[in-house]
Amino acid sequence: MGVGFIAGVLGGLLFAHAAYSTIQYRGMLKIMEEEFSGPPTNVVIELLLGFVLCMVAGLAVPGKFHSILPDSEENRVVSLPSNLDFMIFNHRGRLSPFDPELKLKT
Amino acid sequence: MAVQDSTRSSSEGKSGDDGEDLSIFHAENLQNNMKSIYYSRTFLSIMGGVVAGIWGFTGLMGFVFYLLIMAIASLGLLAKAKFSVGNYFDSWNRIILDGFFGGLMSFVLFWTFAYDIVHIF
Amino acid sequence: MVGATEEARLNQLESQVDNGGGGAWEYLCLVRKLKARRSEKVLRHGIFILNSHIARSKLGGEEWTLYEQVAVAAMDCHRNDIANDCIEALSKKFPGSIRVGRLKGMLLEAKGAWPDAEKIYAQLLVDNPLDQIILKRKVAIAKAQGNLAAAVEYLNNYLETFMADHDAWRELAELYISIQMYKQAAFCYEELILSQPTVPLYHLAYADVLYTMGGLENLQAAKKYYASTINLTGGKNTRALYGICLSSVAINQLTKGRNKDEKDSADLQPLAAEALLKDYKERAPEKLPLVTAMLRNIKLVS
Repeated sequence: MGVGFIAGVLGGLLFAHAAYSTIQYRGMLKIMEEEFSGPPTNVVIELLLGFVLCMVAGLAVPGKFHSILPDSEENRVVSLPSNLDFMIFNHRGRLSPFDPELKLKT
Repeated sequence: MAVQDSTRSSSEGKSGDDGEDLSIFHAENLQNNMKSIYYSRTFLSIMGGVVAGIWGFTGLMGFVFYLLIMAIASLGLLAKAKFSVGNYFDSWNRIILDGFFGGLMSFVLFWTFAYDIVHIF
Repeated sequence: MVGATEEARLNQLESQVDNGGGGAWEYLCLVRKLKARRSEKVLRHGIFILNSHIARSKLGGEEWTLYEQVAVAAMDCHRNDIANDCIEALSKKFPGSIRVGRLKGMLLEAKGAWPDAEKIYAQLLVDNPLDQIILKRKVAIAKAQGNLAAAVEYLNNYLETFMADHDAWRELAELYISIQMYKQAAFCYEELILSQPTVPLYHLAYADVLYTMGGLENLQAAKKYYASTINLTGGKNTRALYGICLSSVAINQLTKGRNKDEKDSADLQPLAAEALLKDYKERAPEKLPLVTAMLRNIKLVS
């Protein structure tokens, strides 16, 4: 998530810079009374680079895909929850009480 | 039940009943994956709109650019799923076609927005 | 259902907390959510949080849930004094609460005073006749006293009212198995499979019961359910593979000489045997010769 976020921020900054350059380029064209046919090549490169970075961000930030197969390594059922409602207390642990030092301070 | 695990009943899903239950899957994870795709596509539509605006596309060119962006997004999502779509989704359409035109409105919005900022004002 | 990731996360948190890293509260919440029975760890770390004033005040309202969790864990570790202290703190805060009343009943159970516990539960049931947990505790009292027949009766009555309680069906199945009433246990597992058909462990348990009951029809059904377990777990369940091998052998012995109007399951046995061998080769290669010898003895492998 960290890498994606940084990539996104960088892409955003590149876009901002490209926008600014294009505005200045247009201003210059207006002075020279020429038609706007497209931003200069370096701006195009900047836009493409920014877009690639944003793509990386867009794919990485929402998190990994989770498997949907029920028997995949992450999804498989390991055990059923132990039935705590029916828990009984007279098991062998009765004979060796746990850690007599432990006390609740009131 | 007083002691419930409410996610238990919603975590399994079945789609289709063709006699073989190949189609049992973890519905919660599928929903999360679909949400993830939706966010990715929306974000990329917005960024694509900004690029189109700065670049100065007008008219049909812009919409062609949008289709291109969505195609690239599909490729990117396929790569993210490591090309084994069956592990993460229940059909190929989910990655390739779903939400294809969902980002169109955001795209147009940011396209006009960026175009106005850069070229008009 | 405890999944593999959740269990891994639980174990990781447990080792982290044991070695002095933080995260005790997160561990306790996860134990509560997964309903794991790890009373010693819960007791130790719960008391640690409750004894430190800062950590306790950070919990806010959840502190009382922690008291309850620590009380039950203390009873399980036979530290009834700690449990008593927790329950007193809770009853000071929530006087007359049914939840605290239940805990008091459980404490009497832990001390072995069954009649007193039953009295308290009867009292609570007067105001709340349909409280599920108290009804289940009555079953637990009967079980703890060794009176399994009474436990079965209570649980049957409970299930007539609350038919959708899966844990109760599971408990009833286990009780029936322990008193060797396999047909009834099979019925309970059938109910479980009907309501949750995608959990492979129920299929496995049902197949085990059918195999235990024996007889040609039961063995054939057991083989089918072992196969469905393998289907649901993607072939990773070793016990189901063994089940197929053994039930096939048992069926073959029963139908020896009889005309086999066999369907297609003739290739199931060798396939299961092969999968078993592959499994052992990957995970426990030193035991592979034992398994090969056994399978050779029952003629599933050449």
